[in-house]
Parts: sequence; structure tokens; C-alpha cells
Amino acid sequence: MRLLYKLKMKRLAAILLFLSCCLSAGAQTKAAIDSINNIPFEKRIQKAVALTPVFLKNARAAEKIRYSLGIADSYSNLALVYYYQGKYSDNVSYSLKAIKIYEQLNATDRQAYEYAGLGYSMKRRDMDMAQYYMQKGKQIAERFNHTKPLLSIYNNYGVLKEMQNDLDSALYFYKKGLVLKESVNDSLGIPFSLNCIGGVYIMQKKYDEAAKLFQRALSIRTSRNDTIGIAENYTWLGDLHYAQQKHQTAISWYQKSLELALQNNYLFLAQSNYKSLSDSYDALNDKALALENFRNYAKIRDSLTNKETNSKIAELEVQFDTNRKEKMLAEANNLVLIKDAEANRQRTILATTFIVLFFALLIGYLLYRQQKLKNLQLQQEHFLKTAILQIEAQNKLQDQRLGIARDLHDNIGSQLTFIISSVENIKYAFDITNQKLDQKLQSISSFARETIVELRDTIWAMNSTEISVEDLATRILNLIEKAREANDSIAYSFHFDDELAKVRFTSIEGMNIYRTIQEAINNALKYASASEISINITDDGNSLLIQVADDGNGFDTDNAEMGNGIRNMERRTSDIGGNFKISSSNQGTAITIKLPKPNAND
Amino acid sequence: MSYFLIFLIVILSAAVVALVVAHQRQKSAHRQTVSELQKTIAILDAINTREQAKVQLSNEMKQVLDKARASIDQQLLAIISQQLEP
Repeated sequence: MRLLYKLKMKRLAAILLFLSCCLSAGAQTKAAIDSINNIPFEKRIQKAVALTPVFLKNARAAEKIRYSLGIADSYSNLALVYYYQGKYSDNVSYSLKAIKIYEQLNATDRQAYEYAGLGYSMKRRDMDMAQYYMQKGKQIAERFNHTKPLLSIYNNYGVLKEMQNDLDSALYFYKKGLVLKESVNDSLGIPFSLNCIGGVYIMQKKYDEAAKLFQRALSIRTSRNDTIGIAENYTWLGDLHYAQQKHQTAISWYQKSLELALQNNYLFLAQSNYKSLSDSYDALNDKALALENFRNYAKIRDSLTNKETNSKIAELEVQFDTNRKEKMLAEANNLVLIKDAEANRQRTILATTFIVLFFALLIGYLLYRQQKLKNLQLQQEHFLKTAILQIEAQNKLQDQRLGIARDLHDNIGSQLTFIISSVENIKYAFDITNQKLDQKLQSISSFARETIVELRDTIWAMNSTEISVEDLATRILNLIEKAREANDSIAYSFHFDDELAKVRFTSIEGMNIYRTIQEAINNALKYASASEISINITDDGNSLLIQVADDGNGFDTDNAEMGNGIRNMERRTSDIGGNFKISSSNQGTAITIKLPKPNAND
Repeated sequence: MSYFLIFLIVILSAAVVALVVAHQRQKSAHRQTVSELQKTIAILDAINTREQAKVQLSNEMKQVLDKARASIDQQLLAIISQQLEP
């Protein structure tokens, strides 16, 4: 026995050493963490104390590599080992931590397990909370259809109901669990459910049904070679016979169970068996054996009670510590809340200051921009208004000058008429025989007449705002008429394109064009000995062509000296932005003026 | 506190929007004024050009008249000198 125990200890030491090596050697991989977390349930319960530092290390290793599932599994295992050590506050704390992480990871199956486990572990301390957590685990498992957790949850929930003496509900959940276990062929779990149902049947005095269930559970456990399970089933059978008051048969079952329990150091079961044996012998009135078994029972109970007492003291200490810590935590929380409120206030003040500052700057900039624009606009408007005033002043001045000029021209016109009539009177009043004197007077008279004509032409131009080609044509026709009066042997022709009728010139342009044409006709009359003079105004796209041509004897343009007339024509054309061209041969002379079309330029 | 901040932001935003709108209106009004002034200048400028042309014509006429006067003076002098001949 001792050898066996030593071997077991060596094996455990080897496992622990391996696990420690895994962690300390830096092999902190997920697989290593998972392998530690998946140590079989039975081992976790049996070696709860030894495994506590291992799971703590495992949790730290998982935290280091931020392996959330590993952390949660380690916490879950820590909750379990602390529970079996009687450290209930640690058990609850780690269990809740694990649940929180499972929830974040959406690992609903593990979450359901953990809730149900927490509830089951609290069944002797706080039944309401136990039921609350158990229900939560059950609901999660049912909602997500997790069969595996439900296998144990239904059974454990039945236990809670049985503890509350609600036998029908207990039976309902045990059967539900059994059906599920049978559907997945869970040979480990089925005997548990069968025994639980059998236990309820005993209480309901349904002994035959209970016996069948216990036998079925026993055969399954025997086939699995589960010695502890077999011992438990012997006790159940003993209980069945004891309830039926078949004390002798019950004793034989209890003894068989006791033997196996002692072999496996399962003291709780051994204690229970001693007590049942004592009661059975007492019922058979065998007081000596009853006393002996009671003594054995008391012996084991005392040793276990010591343990229980110690764990109760520890639990009370933990509770006290927990209360104290909770109080401190509450105070710390209050402090944190106050600090949070203060920080919030400061943040708000900072945000307000920032926002006000930002908007103040923005509004300031906008106002500055608006003022700047206003100044610029005022400056621009002032400049334009000044320009208008200047132009208006200039116009006024020019208007005054023109008024004076008009008066002057009218006055001069009448004076010239007076000169002409005076010269005519002299000629008729005095019988002038002197030929030269007569010529001179005639010359003065004709000169005055020409001047009056020129004066009228200029006044016409000055009185017109604009001069159209149509106006010019009328004037040219008048000119031709006068020329015809002077020399009727010459044929005159005048033509202008109809589409040019509405083309308008300024008064100075119109006057210069008219004077040029007038000069050209005069030259043809004076020097060309022509039989025909033609005047044409034609459209040449963007320009306008004016041609005065005769069929006279012409002149050599290269050698002949250009007179004042031609130079004046050139100057006038150039003044209004046009081109002047003269061509001559023995078949006649042609003067061509090319002007940009005013309307075309607009 | 957060309501106060929202209220503050809304008020200040409204002020900013109002300023921007006023700025745009001012710009638009100015554009209109400038356009009207430029039109007036163009009209006055055209009038001015026409008046200048007339002044030029008047100057030209003055030259013609000067020439005519000189010519008539010359003719008269010729007549007088002829009369004075013995």
C-alpha cells in the first residue's frame, strides 16, 4: 500500500515537475497552457492543493501572451481547486472572472459550465444564489443547444431541487439528464442519474423501480471497473434494503461498500457505511456490533469534522476578509467616483475653454476678413466714383468748349455771308473795269463760299452723334450733284452695299471719310480729264472698302510729285486707322481706302 | 454640462454662419455696385469720345477759317496795292 502511495507521489511529482519546466523554460505556447488546463477532473479534485500554484502560473503565462481562453480556463480551474480547499471567496472570485472572459470571447459552452459549476458549489451556503447561477448556466446551454454541459447541469439541478424537498421537480430533471446521457451514450454519467432517480424512488417508497435502477447502474459501473462508483452503488442498495427493513441484506451491502471505500480511502463513504451498519445492527438489536460500528463512525467523523471545522473557520475568516475588503473596495470606489467627477468637471471646463477659444478666433478672423473686404470695396468704389467725376468734369468742359465753338462758327458763317454780299455789292456798285481787280474780288467771293460749305459740313458732323454709311451716301450724292453743276460732261456713278447702310462711324471718322472722298473727286475733276467718275463703298469681310476711280489720263505715281491734296487724304485715312492706296495708269486713277468696320469690331 | 456645451457650440456655430452669410451678401452687393459704376463709366467714356471728336472737328474748322482769313487778307492786300499803283 505504502509502495503504491510512493509510486503515485512520484508520478505526481514528475507531472508537476514537467508542468513547471514547461512554464519556466518559456514554453508558454497555447498548447502548453491548454494541456495544463485539461488535467482530468478527478486529478484536479484529488490534488487540489498541489495544483493551485500550477494553475496560478498557467494563468500568468496565458496573461503574458494575452491568450484569453487560456486565462479563463486557468481561472476556472483555480475556482475549482479553491472550492475543494474550502476557500470559497477565491472560488467565487475566480469563477466570476472566468465567466466574464468567456462572455467576452462568446464561449457560451464554457460560460454555461462555469455558471452551473458556481451554482452547484454554492448549494450548501446560499441556496438562492446557487439556484440563480445554476438556472443561468442551464438557460445558456439550452439556448445555444450545448449538450455536453447540459449532461451534468440537469443532474445537478435535480440535486438542488431534492435539497429543497421538491421531489417531483428533482425527478423531472434527473430523468431529463438521463435521457440526454443515454442519447450520447455517456457511460460515466448514466449511473449517477440512475442512482439519483433511485434515491427519489426510495423516498417515494417505489422500491422495485429503485432496485432496477440501482442494479442497472451497478452493472454499468462494473463494466467500467469503477471501484468507487461500485462502492457507492452498494451503499445505495444497502439503503434500499434498509428502507424496506431487510436489515440483514442491507448489512451485507454496506459491508461490501465499506470494504471498497476503505481500500480507496473514500472516508465520507466509509463514515456513511459505518453509520448505516450501526443503525442496521441496532435495528436487529445487536447492540455490541451497533456500538462498534458507531465508534468507527464517530472516529472517522471526528477526523473529518476537524477538517470541516478548520475549513469552516477558514471560510469565516475569508468571509470576514471579504467583507473588510468589500468595504475598502467600496470606499476606494467612492474615492474613484469623486475623482472621476472632478476629472469630468475639469475635462468639461477644458473642452468649453477650447471651444470658446476656437470660436472666438474663428469669429475674430471672420470679422477681420469682413472689415478688410469692406475697406477694399470702399477703396474700389471711391476709385470708380472719382473716375466718373473726372470724366463728367471733362465732358462738361468739352461741352462748354463745343458750345463756344458752335457760337463762333455760326457767327463766322454770317460774317462770311456778309463778305460775299459786300464783294458782290462792290462789283455791282462800282463799275470795275480793272480785270485783275475783278478777278481778285471774284476769288474772295468764291473762297468765302467754299469756306461756308466747309463750315456747314463741319457743323453737320459736329451736330451728329454718329454718322452712318447711309448719312455719308446722302452727303456724297449732294457733292456729286454740285460737281455735276460744275461740269456736266462727266458721268458720275455712286454705289454702296445695302448691308453697310447701318454701319456707324464717329463724327470725326465720318468727317475724314467724307473729306477724303471729296478731295478725290475734286482731283479727278481738276486734273484727270475723265469722262466718268465712280464711287463705290463695299463690304470686305471685317473691313470696308471705299474706292474713287476715274477713266482719265492718269499720272506716274512713282515720278510725279504728290500734292497737298493726296497727302491730306493719306493723313486723314491714317488718323482713323485705315490704309490709303493710290494706283494710276494711262487708263485712269483709282484711290482705295480700307477701313476696319466699326460694327464688326464691337 | 454636456447640454451646456452643445448649446454653446450651437450658438457659436450660428454666429459663424451669420457672419459668413453677411460676408457673402456684402460681396454680392459690392459686385452689383461696381458693375453699375463700370456701366456709368462706359457710357460717360463713350460720350467723352464723341465730344473729343467734335472738339477735333472744331479745331480743324479753326484751321480752315484761319486759312480762309489769310487768303482773303492776301487778296485784299493785293487789291489795295493795285489801287495804290500810279
